[in-house]
This record gives sequence, C-alpha cells and structure tokens, in this order.
Amino acid sequence: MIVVKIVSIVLWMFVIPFCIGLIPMQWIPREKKNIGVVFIAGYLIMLPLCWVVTVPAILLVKYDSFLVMVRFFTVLIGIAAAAGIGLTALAIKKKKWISLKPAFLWKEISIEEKIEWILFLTLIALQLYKAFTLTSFDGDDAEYVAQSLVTQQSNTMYLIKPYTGGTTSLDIRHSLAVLPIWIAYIGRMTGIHTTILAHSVIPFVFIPLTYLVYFEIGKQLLHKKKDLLPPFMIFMALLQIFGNVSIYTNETFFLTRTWQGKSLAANFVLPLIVCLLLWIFDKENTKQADKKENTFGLWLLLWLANMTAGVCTSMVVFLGAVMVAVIAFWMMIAERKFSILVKAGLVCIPNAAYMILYLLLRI
Amino acid sequence: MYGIFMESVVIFKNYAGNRLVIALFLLSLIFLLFKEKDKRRRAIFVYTPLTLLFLFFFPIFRKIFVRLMSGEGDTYYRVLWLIPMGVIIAYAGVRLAGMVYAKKGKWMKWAVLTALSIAIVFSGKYVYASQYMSKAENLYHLPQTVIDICDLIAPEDGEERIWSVFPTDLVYFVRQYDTDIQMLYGREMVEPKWQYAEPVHSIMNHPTTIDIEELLKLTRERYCTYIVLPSNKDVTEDPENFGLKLLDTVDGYPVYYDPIAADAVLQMQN
Repeated sequence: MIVVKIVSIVLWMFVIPFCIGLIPMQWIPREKKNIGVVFIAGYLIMLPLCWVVTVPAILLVKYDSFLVMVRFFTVLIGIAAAAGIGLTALAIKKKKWISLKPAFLWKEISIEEKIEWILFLTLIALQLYKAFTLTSFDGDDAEYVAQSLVTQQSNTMYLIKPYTGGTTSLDIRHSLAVLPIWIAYIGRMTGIHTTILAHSVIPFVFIPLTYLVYFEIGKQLLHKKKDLLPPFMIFMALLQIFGNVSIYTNETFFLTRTWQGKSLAANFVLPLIVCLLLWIFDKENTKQADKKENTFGLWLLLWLANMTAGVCTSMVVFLGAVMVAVIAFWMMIAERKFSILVKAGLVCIPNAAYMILYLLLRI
Repeated sequence: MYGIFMESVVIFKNYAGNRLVIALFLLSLIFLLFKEKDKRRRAIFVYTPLTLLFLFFFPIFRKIFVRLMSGEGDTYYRVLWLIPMGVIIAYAGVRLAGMVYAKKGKWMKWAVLTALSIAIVFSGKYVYASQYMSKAENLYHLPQTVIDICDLIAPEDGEERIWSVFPTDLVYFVRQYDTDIQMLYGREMVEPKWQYAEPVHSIMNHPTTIDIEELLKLTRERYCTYIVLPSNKDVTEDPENFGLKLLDTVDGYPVYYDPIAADAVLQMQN
C-alpha cells in the first residue's frame, strides 16, 4: 500500500509537472534548458491552471464544487502533460530538440568542487531530514492545513470554517489563494491525508524546488567563474538554516512553514522573478552570436510566475508587481530602453486582473 | 508621517531580530556597490534593494500597502521579502573570495569562504533550535494526544458530524486531523492578539477552575456531545454528577460524552 502511495506521489508531484514543464521549452534559450528548469516550469504552469479551474468552481458551483474542480483540473493537466510530451516528440522528430543536459558533469569538475558539492548536498539532506522528523508549531496551520482537509473530506471549497466546522459565507480573501485546494487535490488523487501531505511530503518537493531557483540564479551570476557556484550554494543553504533571526524572515517561513502559500511565494516565486529578470536582461542585451534568440519563453514564465504568486497568497500579487516594476525601472535606466517598462507592465497583467477581481468580489 | 516612519523602523528591527546578519547584508550591499561593474547586476542587486529599502521606510508607501491589504498593517514586514538578502550576501561573499583567490591564491580563498561561513552561522540563529520546533510524533506532525482523543470521539463513516469542546492548547490541531469533529470555538477565539470573546471558551480558559454547571448549560444549548477538559485545572463538581460519561483519560485529558446532549441531537434530527 505504501509503495502505491509513494508511486502516486512521484506521479502527481514529479512526473506530471515535469511533462507539463516540457511545453515552454521550445521558446526558452537553449542554455537555459535543463531538467531543473523543466520542473520549475511545470509548477509554474500547473499551479496557475489550478487557479483557473478552482476560482470559477468556487464562484459558480453551489454544491460539491471540489468534485467539479477535480474533474476539470484532471482533464486539463492531463491535456497539458500530453501536450508537453507531444511537443517534445515533435521537436525530436523534426530534429529541433536540444537535449536536457545536466548543468555540469561530475567527472569534469575538480576534487575541491566535488567536496563543496557534497557539503552542499549534505546541508540539503539535513533540511529534508529535519523537515520529516521535526514539527514546527504554527497557528496558521489551523487555517491552511485544515482548509485542505475540509476540502478533501467535504467536497466543498471555502464554505466551511476551517477553525470550527461551522458554515460561512464565501471567504473571498483566502479563496483566491488556492494552494490549499491544490494540496487537497493531490490528497484526493494520491489517497493521502492532506495533513500528512502538507507536513511530511511537500517539503520534499518545495525545498528542492527553491534550491533549483537559487542554483539557476547562481549559475547566471557566476557563469564566468563556475568554481564559485558550489560555495554560493553552500552560503545559500547556511543562510536558510541560520536565517531564523526572527519569526518574520522568509528563511524562517521556508523551513518552518514550507507547505504554506506565504512561504512558497517568498521563497520560490519572488526569487524566481529575480532569476527570470536576470535571464531576460542578460539575454536581451548580450553581444554574443545567439543574440537573436528570442526571450518570449522567459517573459511567458515571468507571466506565469506572477500568476503563481496569486495561487500562493493575495499579498504577494501586489508585492511581486512592485518587485517587477522596481527592477524594470532600474533596468530601463541601465539599458536606456523604455520598452522594458512596457514589457514589464504586460507581464503584470495577471497581477492587475487578480487585484481587480479581488476588489470586485469584496464589494 | 514621522510616526509611521518610526513604526517602520521598529518593524525592521523586529525583522532583523537584533542579529548581525542584517549587518552582513548591508556590508554585502556596500561591497557590491563598489565592486560590481556589470550594470545589470548593479540594477538588480544594488539599486533595486536600495529602492525597496527606501520604499519600506517611506510613509506613503506604507499607507498604500495598508489600504490595499485592507488594514493589515501587521504584515508590512513582508515587503522586506522582496529584497533577496540571502542571494546578495552569498553573491558578495563568493565575489570577495574570487578576488582574494586572484590576488592571494587558493588557500586565502578557502580562508575567506570559511570565515564567511562562520560569520553566517554566528550572525544568524539555528532554525532547528527554535522554541516552536519539536520532535514529530507521527506523519501528521500533530500531537499524538490529539490523534488519540479524536480517534476516541470521531463519528463512524456515514454518521453525522459531532460538536465538541477542547482545551485551548489542543484546538489548533483537532481539525487538521479530522474535520468531522466540529468545535464550539477554534483558533480564532484562543489567539490573545485577536481579543475575541466566546462564552464557552471563557469558562474553559479560567486560570484555575472550570465551572461545570455553567459549561454544560452552554454546551447543551449548542448540541455539543463531547467535552475534553484540560489536564491541569480543577472542576467545580464531578462532571458525572451532571450526567456526563467519562470515556477515557488520554494523556491526562479527561474525555467526556454527554448523553443528554446526544439525545437532544437525536430529537432534533427526528
């Protein structure tokens, strides 16, 4: 039985997101294509798809809205995963596919770097071990984790108070941030209690996902000095482990509330926005021969990252837009290109739409 | 305006937690300001953090934030999440090590990297030593006591959900395990910062003694069939004198079934 559950976790949380993540690969610069980026892209597509299905179901379906969500979302991600595989197969057939090469080959790096990478992986293993064997008390779990369980057990969404079980009118503020519903969905498909999923399984997905983003940032920043990448990653891991200087830091959220939308937004979405903007501006302003390579796929991922922010928490929808605006402003000055602000404005359309919907629903 | 600015200063201090890691961040920022020559890196890792810090302390930005967040000023610290402090520290650290390597060789690079790692460790705080961390007792990461109590009172498959009362320290966990168990009050009533008042909770939360008669008057009005009493408080009278049945005592918490409330539920359903 436990083997079946582990296989379903691998299927729903690794294989399907990976297949979905293959979709945008043909629009992404070739040096950015790797297994980690496919996995990140998979989550950037799957979570917004969850939002697109869940919010209308919450607003329009009166009874058993979760059942409706499950049916539509399953079909949608099934199509998306098939599209990912299909597009890849087509690209291979047309000989346009660039294989997903690892960032480096183990045999090609020095002994020093090998030691540093082993040290870094040990720090990650420590975080995963602690996530599994330790529990952190957080009052917000009484809302978020219980919300997933209410959904899983009652087939309704945001109509029952998670704290007590009493009925309530639709909770607009929380109902637009649908990460607890996604957890309920994974719980339904794997047959695992959502509290076990949140506390014991999700850290094994979200912690590596976050380090994949840091790895990509590090790779981009240090592409001329690759030997400094492992120390960069060790510093990042140490900063997370020793980042509990207060209960407010994103590092504290990362390792004590890994499964909550706020943590995913602060530690995955916001660094990813930085990473994507770094990629985009480096790519668009490079003087290399492949200058013409289009950055459409990266802008698309940034759009999806902004949508993912909305899946996690309403507040980061606003904060993500502030971040894109500030970076785009300084980049416009650096590159003397006004078009940067226009493009940045376009990728913030999901944020604006989300905020308008939020305000309309509150009236 | 000055008052709002000072509030932001206090929020910043609370965020930094009087630890030196924030000094490490500011030093990294200054280092990159002088040593980073790539204009795009400077835009993202120097000017953007400085702008975001300025916005954080700027009173009008705080006003807009609070207005947009429907008055949730206590979450203003999250603006600081926009500043990639960790990436800036790590990047400045390896850049420094790289510079040292170019001038002084491999061993000095290792010395710098080790010194910076030690600085991170000692300027920060080990997350797993937090007072909120404890050993997980099960895969749910919930107290086993709560699970044992819930298993004792939970309705069977197909039965109606039940109403219950739990002591303050357990209310956070009950519905993370089983949502067929409903509670007369939940986390929203027990968080002191929210200052809500709920009559059943007021009785249960009495510092020393629980008034059973008063408690049952309220719980029976609300068809509550299970009452879990705190392990460390006295009761005014033996609950069994009022018709309650002691099901078990789990880890010191007496778990009672109320047949009178259960009869009332049956009558209501019929």
